[in-house]
Amino acid sequence: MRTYNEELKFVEKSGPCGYHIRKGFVDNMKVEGYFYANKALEKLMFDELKQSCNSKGFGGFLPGMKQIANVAALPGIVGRSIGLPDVHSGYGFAIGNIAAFDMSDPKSVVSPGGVGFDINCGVRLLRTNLHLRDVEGLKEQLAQCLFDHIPVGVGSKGIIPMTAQNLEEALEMGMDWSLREGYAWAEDKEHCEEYGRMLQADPSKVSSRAKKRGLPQLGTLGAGNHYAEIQVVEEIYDKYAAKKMGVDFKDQVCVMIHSGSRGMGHQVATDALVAMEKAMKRDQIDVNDRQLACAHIQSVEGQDYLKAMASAANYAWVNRTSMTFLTRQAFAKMFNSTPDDLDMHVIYDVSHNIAKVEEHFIDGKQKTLLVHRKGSTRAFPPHHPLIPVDYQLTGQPVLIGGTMGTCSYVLTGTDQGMVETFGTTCHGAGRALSRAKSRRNLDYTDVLSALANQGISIRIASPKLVMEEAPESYKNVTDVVDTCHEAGISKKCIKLRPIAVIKG
Amino acid sequence: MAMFNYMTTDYDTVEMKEVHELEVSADDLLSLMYHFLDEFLFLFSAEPFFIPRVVKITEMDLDNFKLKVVGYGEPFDISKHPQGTEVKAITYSNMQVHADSEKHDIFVIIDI
Repeated sequence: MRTYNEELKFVEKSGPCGYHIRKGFVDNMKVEGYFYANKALEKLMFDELKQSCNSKGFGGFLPGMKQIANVAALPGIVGRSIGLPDVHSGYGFAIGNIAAFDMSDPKSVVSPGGVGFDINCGVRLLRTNLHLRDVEGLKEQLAQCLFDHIPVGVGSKGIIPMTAQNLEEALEMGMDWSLREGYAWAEDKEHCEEYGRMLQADPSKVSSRAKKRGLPQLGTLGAGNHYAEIQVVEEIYDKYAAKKMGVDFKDQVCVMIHSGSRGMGHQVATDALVAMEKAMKRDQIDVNDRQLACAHIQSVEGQDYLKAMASAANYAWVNRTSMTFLTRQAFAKMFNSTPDDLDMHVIYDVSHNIAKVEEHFIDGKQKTLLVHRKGSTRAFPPHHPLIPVDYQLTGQPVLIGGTMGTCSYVLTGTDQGMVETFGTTCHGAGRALSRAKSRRNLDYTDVLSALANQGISIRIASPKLVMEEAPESYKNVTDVVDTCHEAGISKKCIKLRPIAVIKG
Repeated sequence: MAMFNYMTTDYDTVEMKEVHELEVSADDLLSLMYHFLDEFLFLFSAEPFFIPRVVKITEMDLDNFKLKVVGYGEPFDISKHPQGTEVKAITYSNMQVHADSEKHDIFVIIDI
């Protein structure tokens, strides 16, 4: 094993906020690695590497830099393996890692580790026409009402009635199912990636185990970093783009929902991992990390995974849509109005963990690529054919969920992002402390009272674990967003701050 | 056990009312570990939502990588068991089994 100083020879600063990881940092690298970081964020990255060198690899996580490099060693990768400013150690791929594979190369792979366990985990933002002063007096009741409406935490079960047959249809149809059943508005779909439905979904490729896990959990928020937040607009950086999104004034109330495909997605990922291990032996694919299990895109295992992944993605959209429905009901009840009159439209819905077939330019040539985005958000520029009409002139809205008690952002996609990062930007703050470290260093009562002092109402299913999600456990979301802005891969549009948090 | 202790913040509320028996087989030691944990996670995540208090390994064949295990516990109930955080999946990431010393060290990273 190399020492920390020997490792550093492979990492080279490039530009104001980026680093190259040269070939040789790990074995078999086909392309270079690259990551974005400013001063504060780079320290975290290098500390992670140092720590792993010191412990000689005994236990613990692999550092994010190593993981970015391991991904650069996968067959068929093009461009470079990219870490965004919020990158941190994940399983296989780092979280905040993007990699694209050439669809025309028969050796190219698809890796469930490059999508992540929580398939199509994502964020949705709803607007309202309410002002902060309309909700201030009702904040506690409103938080309680949302908490009562949306099932949260471990072992909670969905309240929207579902049968096995419904589930099959939901997996196939995504938000078209929600629309048919009356849980969504037609225009909601317009403001989702893929219009809330991945057409290659095939529920027959989803194991019965995954369906069994998915059935009771549909319409539940989940635990961990998932949340629903009532937020107000704190600052508008780009008036024109904000107006297009229906955000007109400071202190306008919005609702952010962060959730994914629950146990269903995790089981799809687990099943694929097991199937692909076998395929790798057969097709003699070598990888540096067992969690990077992958299969040729055109192989049976590769195709089955993509179809199952699309079904899980559809599930996630139905899940967020169900919670949108419950949120609309809760607001309507509290304000004695209708969701329509409250103008509760979906501003946008983004996916954090997904692999998609897209067209990109590599060395001036148009290529069809399978882009894996893990813990990162698609950020297409203005005029891109895949973004909705409403946002053709502004670029795709990108929703960045902050951590509990800190701010969130809305960004827009840029042309430079299209060139540098396959049209991708960060997804959130990214962890800085491990969960165990947070529990050792922080006390849950302090965390809760700090939130109360900021005037944030909180409803949480497991208060004793709240320190794991404390702002101190995460990278500073403002650092992350500013680095993306400075690097030009996305543009700041709106800043939001929470006034109430509902968590598992 | 560490895994399930995370899902409820008061593990002592779990009573041993039910018994579930499992058989696990795999191709090597790491995948045996993986499947062993994954089977229990599945029992928790779908019917019967079983959370074990005690897990006993009754048979272990490390030449053919087979395990027989019995779990004692009950179905998870949010009105009885304080909710902790949710373990979503088991991972192979940096998984290590050190069996060379008197005390065996096993590292498994779980996804939460």
